[in-house]
Amino acid sequence: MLFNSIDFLVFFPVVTGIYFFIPKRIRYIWILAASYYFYMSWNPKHVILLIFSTMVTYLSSLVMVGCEKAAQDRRRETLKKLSMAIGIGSNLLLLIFFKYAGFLIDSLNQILSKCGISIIEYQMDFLLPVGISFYTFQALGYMIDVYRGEIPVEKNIFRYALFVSFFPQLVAGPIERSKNLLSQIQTMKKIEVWNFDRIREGFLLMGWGLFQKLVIADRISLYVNQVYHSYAEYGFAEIGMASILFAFQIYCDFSGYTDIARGAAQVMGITLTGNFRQPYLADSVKEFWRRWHISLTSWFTDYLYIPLGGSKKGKLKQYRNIFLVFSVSGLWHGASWSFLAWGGVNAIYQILEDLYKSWKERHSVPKKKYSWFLHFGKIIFTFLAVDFAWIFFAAGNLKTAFQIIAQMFSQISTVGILGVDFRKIDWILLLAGAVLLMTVDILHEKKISVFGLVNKQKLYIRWTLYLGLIWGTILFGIYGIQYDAGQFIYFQF
Amino acid sequence: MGKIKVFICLLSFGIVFFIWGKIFSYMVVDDTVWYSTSRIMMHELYTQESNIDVLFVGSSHCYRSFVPEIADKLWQKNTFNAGTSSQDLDGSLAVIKEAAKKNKIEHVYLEIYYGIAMHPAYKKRTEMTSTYLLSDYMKPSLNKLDYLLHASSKEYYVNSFIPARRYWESFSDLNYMKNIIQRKNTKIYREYKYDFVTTEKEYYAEKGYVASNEKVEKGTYWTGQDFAPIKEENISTDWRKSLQKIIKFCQEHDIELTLISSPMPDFRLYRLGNYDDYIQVVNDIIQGTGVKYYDFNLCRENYFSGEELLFMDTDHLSKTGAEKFTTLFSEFCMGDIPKEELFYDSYEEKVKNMPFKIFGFVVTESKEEHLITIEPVTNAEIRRVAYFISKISDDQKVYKRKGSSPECNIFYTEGEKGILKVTGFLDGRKMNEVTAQYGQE
Repeated sequence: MLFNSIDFLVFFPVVTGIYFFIPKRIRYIWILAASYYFYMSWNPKHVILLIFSTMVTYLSSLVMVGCEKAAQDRRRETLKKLSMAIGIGSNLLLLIFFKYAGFLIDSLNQILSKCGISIIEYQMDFLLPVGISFYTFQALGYMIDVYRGEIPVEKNIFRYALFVSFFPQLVAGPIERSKNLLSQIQTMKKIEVWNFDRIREGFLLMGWGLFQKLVIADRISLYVNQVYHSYAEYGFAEIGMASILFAFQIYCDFSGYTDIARGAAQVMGITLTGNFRQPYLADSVKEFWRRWHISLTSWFTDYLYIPLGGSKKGKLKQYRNIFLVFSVSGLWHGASWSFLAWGGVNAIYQILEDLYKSWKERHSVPKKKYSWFLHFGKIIFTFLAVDFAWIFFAAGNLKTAFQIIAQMFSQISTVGILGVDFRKIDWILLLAGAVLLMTVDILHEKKISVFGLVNKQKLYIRWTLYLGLIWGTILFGIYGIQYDAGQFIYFQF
Repeated sequence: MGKIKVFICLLSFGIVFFIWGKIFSYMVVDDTVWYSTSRIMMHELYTQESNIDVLFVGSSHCYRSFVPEIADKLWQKNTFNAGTSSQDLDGSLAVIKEAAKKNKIEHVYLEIYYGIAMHPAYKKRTEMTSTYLLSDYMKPSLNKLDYLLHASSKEYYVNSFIPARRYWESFSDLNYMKNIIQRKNTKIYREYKYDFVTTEKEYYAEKGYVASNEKVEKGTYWTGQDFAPIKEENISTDWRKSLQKIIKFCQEHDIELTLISSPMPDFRLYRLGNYDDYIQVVNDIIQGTGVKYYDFNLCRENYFSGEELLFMDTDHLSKTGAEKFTTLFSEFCMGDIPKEELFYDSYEEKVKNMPFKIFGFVVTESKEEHLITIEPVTNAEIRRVAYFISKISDDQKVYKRKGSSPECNIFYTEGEKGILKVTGFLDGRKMNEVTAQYGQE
């Protein structure tokens, strides 16, 4: 059930409507049932994996806490670690089997065939369970927090199951921390459901998310898919434009999803973590990663980068850690060498940035107050660097990515940027959408709340804006019979 | 904010949202030309001053066949023709329900053209125009909601409920919008006058009937698209179910229901080869329901001929044909003509009693192979048939040949286009002369 589907249009009001009216104490049971229904709408069989992941992490956490209370000092630590290892290991095995087995066997086969050894034959005709990377990471995060003693263990299985499966963020995040989401679920009965301002803002956020997805991201995909699918017919101008547009496509797609998820949760009185903070206004790649997919970056920082030593054990180890974290992050996105390359490129950027920063410090380059122009230049430079890395992400496989890059530099242009089959109205809408998006981002960058700004306006202006957003999405969104329903890009991860 | 205030706020927002939708539709939905016969018909349906006693529903075969003016005079009742283009049976049911809301309908005549039965299942529809011809002009109601929800798969819902969405690309064409608004901002549009839908050959008469002065000359029938034989497996389950629903609705509302097939040219029916199979399907469905079915394609030729003169094309009756048919139909319904005297038992029997003739020609073209295939449609032995073919390209007769085989193939060169004249002879007597274009883009 996609957020941009008729099914969700029916599902969400029904679920929230009932949520508002049922007794407070059973609210979380209702949302849990709805979340499982939501998940099963993709593939009912995959719910077994969700249950497995939930049960294993739930039980492991209980055992960990139980060990702490019952056993003697030395044994206590061993049992706790064992329990933790079982929890992490079984979840990672699940993830590896469903997501990476094919990739690993293929890669092994390539090596074996080069050594003249017969290849391993296998058949994996199952679909990747939707959202598996998201909910396993969320569950693992909880378990690690319990292990570290940062949060108390959740004994109510239903509350915990809801934390893992909360439908707005189940399939594509944000990857929530137990400190935020679980604590809200624990106090769900205290939520004041009839808060008009909160509900209105929730719906507005959902509307804005849908606008980003349907009007901007999916419209861009018409251009990008055309060029990337037959890249051999195009040159630098067309592929370059497609690559720039892809940066906005993936941003609007994922940020749109996140906004719908956050909006939907907000309608129900739950606040989800923000996943983006104007990423394309970052003036360095390091900064970009503080603003892009924040919940994943912070997950990797807390549970991988810092345990590896972070930046505390010398430059060389820091760079190794950066490289390792970004490679894993790349692979988290997809079982393909191109995702690994994408992570690697981003790691290299950051290492180079750090080297440059160190060089400047060593040579005592005086810190100047940058003019806005220089700052703007850095933003553009960062954008272009990040955008170049997106080619690996968008291409799907490493060979294609290199071919696209080679094709890009083989000729300046073939049909011209405007020669790609993309109608005038699509350009107009794209431009209008991009201006709107950047305006919102710039206002947010300046710490001005757009919703706050809208709410200050007179009723007729507010309503015009609301209606403009709704009607703009209905009339100009890419959906329905002319188009295939656009999956959210991050659903595949 | 208090709950009442919130409710008022939401209601007001909904109303403003709805108004915006209407404004957008007004700006881009073009129902000022061909689309508008159903607009006027539905308006008349809702605004009939006297009770509608008899309702005709069905596809274009309905609105081009039943002339309410004639039926009114003969029956002394108020009849109304609610046929619309390609109206499927779910549409017929919806329009019957709409009409039954305000009127005490005594009798519904459902025109069941066989082509409609071959339409795809409702959830597999890819062409929704025939649905929108009705739904766009239906008043908001549960009936309309039910009709639209069942008329298509979910992907079409937005287009179904928000007409402006269908024309979203037109928002970039200011001239188009200006033109539409200007046309809609006229008295004749506002007052549902007929000027927009009237062409040289066709006009909206009244109470749903659309008259055509178009006429097919004798011996000129041909088709570029062959008529596919009826296959029972192609008759959709949805169509059958809708027919049963209509029967049930009429029974529940004490409305007499009669199924009618208005006349079609013999050129088409003979070519189909198995029209009786369709009649059998319909009879099987209505068996035991008390519903009557009269197929006027089985009319004896002394009452109604399936020859060209009464038709406007290979499908529909012309104005003359419709008037003649309505008179015959009305008289039959009044009991003036016995059923046995009017109808053959089957189309096969009708064909047996027909004089030998060449009904027309099937002229199909394969643009890839630059091939034209000419096939006479005749109930005579093929050895009695001769046909001459002239190919005229750039005003020059480039080809002429005579054939008497079941079909004849002619090739043309790439880029060549022109006119093909086929003259048919039966036992040496000239019967047909058809003119077809070939090689066109």
